[in-house]
Amino acid sequence: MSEIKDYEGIQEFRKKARRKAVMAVGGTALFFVVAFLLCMCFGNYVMSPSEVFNGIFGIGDAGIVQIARNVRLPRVLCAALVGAALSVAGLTMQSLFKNPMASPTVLGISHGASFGASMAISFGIGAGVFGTYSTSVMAFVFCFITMALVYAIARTRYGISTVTLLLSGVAVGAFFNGLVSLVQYVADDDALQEIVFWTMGSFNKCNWDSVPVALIPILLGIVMTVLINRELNMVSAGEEQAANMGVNVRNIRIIAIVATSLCVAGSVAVSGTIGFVGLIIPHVFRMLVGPNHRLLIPLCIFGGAAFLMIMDTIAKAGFEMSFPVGVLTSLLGAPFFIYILKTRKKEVWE
Amino acid sequence: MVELDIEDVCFSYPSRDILKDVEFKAEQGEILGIIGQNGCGKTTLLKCINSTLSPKKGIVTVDGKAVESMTKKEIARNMGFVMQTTSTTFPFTVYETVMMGRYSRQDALDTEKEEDTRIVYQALQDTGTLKFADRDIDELSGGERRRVMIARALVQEPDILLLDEPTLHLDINHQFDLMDLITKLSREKGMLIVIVTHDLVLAARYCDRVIAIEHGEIAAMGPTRDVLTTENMRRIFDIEAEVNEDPRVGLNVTILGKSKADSEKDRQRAAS
Amino acid sequence: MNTKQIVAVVVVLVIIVAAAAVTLSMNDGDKKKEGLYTLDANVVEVTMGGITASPKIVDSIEGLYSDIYGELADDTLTIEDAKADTAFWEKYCTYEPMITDNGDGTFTVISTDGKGPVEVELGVMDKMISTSTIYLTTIYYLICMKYDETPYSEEALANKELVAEYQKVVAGGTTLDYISSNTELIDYFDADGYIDGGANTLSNYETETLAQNIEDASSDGSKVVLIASGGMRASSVDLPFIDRTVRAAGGQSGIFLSVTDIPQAFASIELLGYLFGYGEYVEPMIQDLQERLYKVYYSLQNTDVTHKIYWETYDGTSVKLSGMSGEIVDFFGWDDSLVTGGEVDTETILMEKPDILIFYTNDQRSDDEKMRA
Repeated sequence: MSEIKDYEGIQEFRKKARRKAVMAVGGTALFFVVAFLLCMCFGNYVMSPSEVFNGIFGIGDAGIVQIARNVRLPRVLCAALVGAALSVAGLTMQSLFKNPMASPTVLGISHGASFGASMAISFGIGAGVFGTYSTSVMAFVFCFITMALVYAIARTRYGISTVTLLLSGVAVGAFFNGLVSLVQYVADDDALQEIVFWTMGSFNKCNWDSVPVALIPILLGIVMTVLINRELNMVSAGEEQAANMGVNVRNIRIIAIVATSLCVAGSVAVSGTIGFVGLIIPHVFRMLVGPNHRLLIPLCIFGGAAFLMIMDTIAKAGFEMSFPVGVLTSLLGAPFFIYILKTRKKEVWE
Repeated sequence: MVELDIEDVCFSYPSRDILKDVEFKAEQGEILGIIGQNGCGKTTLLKCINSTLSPKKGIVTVDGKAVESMTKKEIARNMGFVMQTTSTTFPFTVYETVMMGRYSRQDALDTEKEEDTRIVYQALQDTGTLKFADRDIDELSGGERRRVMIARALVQEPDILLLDEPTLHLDINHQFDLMDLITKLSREKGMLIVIVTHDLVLAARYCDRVIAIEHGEIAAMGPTRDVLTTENMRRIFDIEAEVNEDPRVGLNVTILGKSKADSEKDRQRAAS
Repeated sequence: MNTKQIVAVVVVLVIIVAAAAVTLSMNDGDKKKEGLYTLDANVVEVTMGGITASPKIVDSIEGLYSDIYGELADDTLTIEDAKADTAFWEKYCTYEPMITDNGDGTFTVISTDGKGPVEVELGVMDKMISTSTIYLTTIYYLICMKYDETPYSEEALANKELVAEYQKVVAGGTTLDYISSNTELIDYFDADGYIDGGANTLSNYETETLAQNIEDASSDGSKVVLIASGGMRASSVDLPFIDRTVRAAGGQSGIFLSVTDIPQAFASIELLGYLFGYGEYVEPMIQDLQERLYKVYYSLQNTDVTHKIYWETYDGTSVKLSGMSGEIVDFFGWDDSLVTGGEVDTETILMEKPDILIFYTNDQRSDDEKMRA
């Protein structure tokens, strides 16, 4: 590689970087499309790919149309939305906390959302005002509270250290977990069954009604994240320095927390808590393309969506018995978490 | 012609007072050194100047406009701040890092423009970091990184550059390189440069004016050769030093050791 | 030489003392009562699958009665006596029917969409995919009645026709594991021909798997219904959506039932009986059950002992008052202060001194574990 010596060198470098970015985003988008088509072809109801795609457009027998269009398609779409949302939420949190270990599950945010949602499920809180959206709204509110709480506890005058961050995540997460258990304890059988189902994380209840429930908050959250991508870059490189360069860090922090809460709330409302997606996906892409959010956000959207669609398809159809996708991602995610701790010590603990 | 005016600034944390009635003016084209021992409030003063911290009392103005009333972007357009430390948790490339400095000059949804690239290029050129442009920031040495940070502050196109211990933890020859760079910038671009340092040797050699701070108060202020005197050294820093004019380097401080009077005092304190 | 001898003697002595100590302490343990053993309570076991809204509930109630109280007070009572006892009849035998005969070979079944009742018109069904063992058990009792065999008897098992017919109706759904751990039914049908749906509740039933199972069951032209618990609230499972999916996959309908007390158990027996073509056995079966239930009820009216019970499920928590077990506690008129639905600590139990301890027969824990010794 030749050293950059003049303005042409800079131009050359920028061109190369842009080419790399286009290739990365294009490649991941293509991967997403392929994954989507593949996931539409595999499931527990036996259909050939042509039957599936005809079925989506209402061609073929009633069974196939119903399964392809109203069972499989919305489920795959929900998995894609949630995958994208959790990845973007994880990315934002990692930047905000300046720590590659941050993610909705690790910091207890998902547990907070779980609590909010289980309150809505068991006691019908918010149902009067928000109707079908009460679960999402409660999930959002508690997401926000948990995240603000973790942030407030972890933040000291000297910044945020990994130890205090992880520990406050553990503490706050455990607290809300306890509250969820309490709700489970007093809930009646039906509600209990739902909460348990829901804390495991699954897309089995997704249908077309779930799509807008997920789509609206997630879209809002992602758009907000996209709008602050430059600021996130700067904040992730140091809050005080970002402030010195003209970033209103307080506002960005609030926007980032709201955006993350929207993403997690939308996810939790349709699928319960699915762990570690927000840890794995941003981390992998950051290793591949560096820390720039302009690039990372689209990659996380496509990559996260593809990842969770594939995981869900494996979980529902890959084994003799279908099981909740949350179980699968946790099985993958926990070793990955340890792997990051072990191999990327410097970044984690700095 | 930029004028920085610090009037009667006080700052305190709940437990203790940090700054008391600090007051001075500084003008374009000069290098102003703020010296003092660790914990005397030098860095706090710098942060009060760019409104990272808000003073309890007093006001900081740039060309008559109060800094506190400015937006963050406006402040950034007026002054660049180079901090002691750099985070490398997420290693951006040098080019990306310096480009961040353009933030205050761009609109909310702007993308990089040709002009931005030119300015970044110029700053990299000026700081001698052009050859690292495509490298990740964590691959650079401490001195190189510090220069990248200066480049980043330069692309803000500020009139005032605030530097917090720019030479800390650098090799001795890098220290001189960096100070030469700063001098060059001040002379060529006519910037006002405020340096916080505890390095008396470098302050003596490069600063036009010096403010000595002790326990949050200005202990001495004026042209460098008037402040850095043997008596002041003893009084403020408790050290014995010899100050002389050397035709090769200008004002030269030779530190001899800890002040005798002070060690007497210590001994007495220990005895009682 | 000398020291070695001493060492040998010491070793032998230590072993003897240790062995003696161990034996003594074991004897001690045998003698000394610990945990719930100190209560000297009557320990009773009941099948978990028997505490459901199937005909087996009456078997369980009879079993509990004879274990705790002994002989029935009057074995000659008839259904007429039961009807005459209006308090009993109104509380335990009066129910809203879940099915009505339209007289033209079709029936109107009351299902639910999760918000309120919905009516479904259906003919006689051939097979069911179900997510609960309740319905499997009920069908089994009905078929046994048809062939005049005692449920779960050697003879019933040997009756090839009975087993074949049962096998045909019970197409799939609930996992085989669950069936074998919660009921005795596992031997009564061919596991190879059964479609294991991989789920024991509707919310865990993967929708495509359900559709595929329905399709497989109906591939021979059979009329298939999904029968599941509809007690879940609307936000949990979209019941109309499941119903549409079942129909699209070649099934007739999804029927969602909420059965939580004894009268509803009778209603559900009626429903399943008519729906699967055992209409003629419904009335005799229900009458028999009501008569037997009344005998126990009558006997209980004539005792003045009030037992205090502690009833624990296999996960170490008390049963809930809201379910079928609560219905039983209420039926017997037991003191339910220990029936909390949650964990009950040993101290509370020892202080409250229940005289009856009830466990499930499929509880995997050892006796000492159950008795917290």
